[in-house]
Amino acid sequence: MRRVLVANRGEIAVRVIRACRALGLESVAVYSEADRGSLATQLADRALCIGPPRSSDSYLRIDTLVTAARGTGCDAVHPGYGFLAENPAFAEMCARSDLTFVGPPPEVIRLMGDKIAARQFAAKLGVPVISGTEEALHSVDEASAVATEVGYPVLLKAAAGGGGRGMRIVRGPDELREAFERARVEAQAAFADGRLYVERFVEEARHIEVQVLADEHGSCIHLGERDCSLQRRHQKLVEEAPSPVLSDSLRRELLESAVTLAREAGYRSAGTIEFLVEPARGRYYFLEMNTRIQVEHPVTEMVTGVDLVTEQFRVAAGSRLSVARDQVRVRGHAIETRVNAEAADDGFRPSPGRITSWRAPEGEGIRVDTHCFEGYVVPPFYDSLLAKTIAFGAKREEARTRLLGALGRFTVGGIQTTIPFHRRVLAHPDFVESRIHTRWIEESFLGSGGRAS
Amino acid sequence: MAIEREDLKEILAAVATAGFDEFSLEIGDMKIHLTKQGGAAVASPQRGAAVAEAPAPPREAPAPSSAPAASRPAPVEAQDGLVAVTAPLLGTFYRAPAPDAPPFVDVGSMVEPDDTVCIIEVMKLMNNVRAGRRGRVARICAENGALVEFGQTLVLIEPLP
Repeated sequence: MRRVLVANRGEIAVRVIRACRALGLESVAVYSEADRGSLATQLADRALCIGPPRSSDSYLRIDTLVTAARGTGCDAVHPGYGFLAENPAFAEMCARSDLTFVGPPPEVIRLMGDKIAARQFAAKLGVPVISGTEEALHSVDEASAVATEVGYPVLLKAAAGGGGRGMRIVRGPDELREAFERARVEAQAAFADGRLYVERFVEEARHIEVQVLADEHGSCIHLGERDCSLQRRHQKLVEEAPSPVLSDSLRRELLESAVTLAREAGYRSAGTIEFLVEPARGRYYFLEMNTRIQVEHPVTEMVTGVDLVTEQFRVAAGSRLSVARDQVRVRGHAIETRVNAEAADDGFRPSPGRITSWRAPEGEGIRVDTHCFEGYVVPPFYDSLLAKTIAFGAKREEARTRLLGALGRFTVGGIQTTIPFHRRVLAHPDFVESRIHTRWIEESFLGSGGRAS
Repeated sequence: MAIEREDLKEILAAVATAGFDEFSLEIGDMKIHLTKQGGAAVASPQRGAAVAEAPAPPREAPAPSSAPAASRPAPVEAQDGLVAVTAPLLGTFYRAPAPDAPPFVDVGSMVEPDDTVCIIEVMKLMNNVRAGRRGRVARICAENGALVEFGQTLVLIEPLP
């Protein structure tokens, strides 16, 4: 492996290019017209314009990306997250074009991409899943029968799922018909696949996920868990490692389940197995597996010292993981906040535009992953992530106060950001004591004073 | 030969609707030089063809020293009223429909808007690139078989009314 096409944009493109440099690999960045002059294009050894701003005409074009990789003499492609990262056709096309896809084999992407198939796979291995349907629902009557059996409220989900699209909470039978239709239409529009399934809705649950790494030499290990319970509309906002609420025994079970799943699926590369956890009842349920590097991977890197993107490259090149299971130690605590270009006080309205001033925090235990700089124009075409601000501390409280301090020093001019929102969240007593769940932002924080304070 | 008032009107009208910014005419000792106000206000892309002003050269880091085949031509800027035909997508640039076929156009060729001037190949799919305007081919800016980027100038055309 010598030269890598980075098939992404934004902070993850920058992150991947830095990993390439660390490994002595050359990097080729691709950009749409809206990303001309971006940090990734400046840092890469070479940059190519692949199309107009619309991602369906640029970052999502398999043929263009493969042509760009071949035409520039690349031998590998890193997909980042989002865009084509979990598209099995892209992974297959790379393989057919003699390009190493830095990720898992296409079959595993396909298996885990079908959320119903993944659920069945987990259940067969004895990993707990939330009670609900085994197969895709054919009609609203079928959904009704299952909902009655498992008990309301239920959650309708898209088989092709992800990002909360096609997902609906149904509180009672009278809401089912309309929710079913709307979820089906939404799923069809988002994924060109309208298949739905239903699960019992778990109230006040936490979202806890396990980072795994696997190579082709039989090594499949976990790197501990991340707690991503702070979400708004199923979008993660704050992530931390380790989880502040898992008991030792529950943690052990969760981690073992994750490794079993990854190993049995024939996984390779970095991946994440997501669980819904009811800490009070000591229960956990498999949600889905993400077959890519995740946005929140830095918190795991901070507490384990393992560079996950570098490991992805090692595995893709056919090497062994650089760490063995018994060498991975989780030390200290890390918390990450996603700083987005959004006006939190105005319904999280997107706020693209020119960044007139940019001062990112530095200091002991602080890491900022970003593609932004003074004068950079945040384009309106893509997601609103500006920077991930991560703090490490010996204990959670130290990480929290460091992060709060870092966000206080973080100044961005010209556009609205979620920095003030994050400072209020981090200072909230419920967060300090981690008395939160996946709907805490919407049900408690935004509803009562979180906004006004 | 003298230029009459009516001739001048016609010339002005032609320049106003043409896709270039400056126009010079010399007949004997008679000289006309016209410049459009606002300069770059060149016609918007026409009928699905890839015609636009040559874009600003992209900011790029130098290619790796060992960069293979895909040599990059220096960015070309439209000049002297020439109009750039740019790549509608990233791919491999071909001047002819087949390796042994004559090129679609050469320098000096007259083209109509719908004439194909070159092909961009993306994974065995051939995409015809049209001239987009009537004119004379002034320059071919990419090398046959080279990888071209989206928006890269491929051919410069001297527009004719």
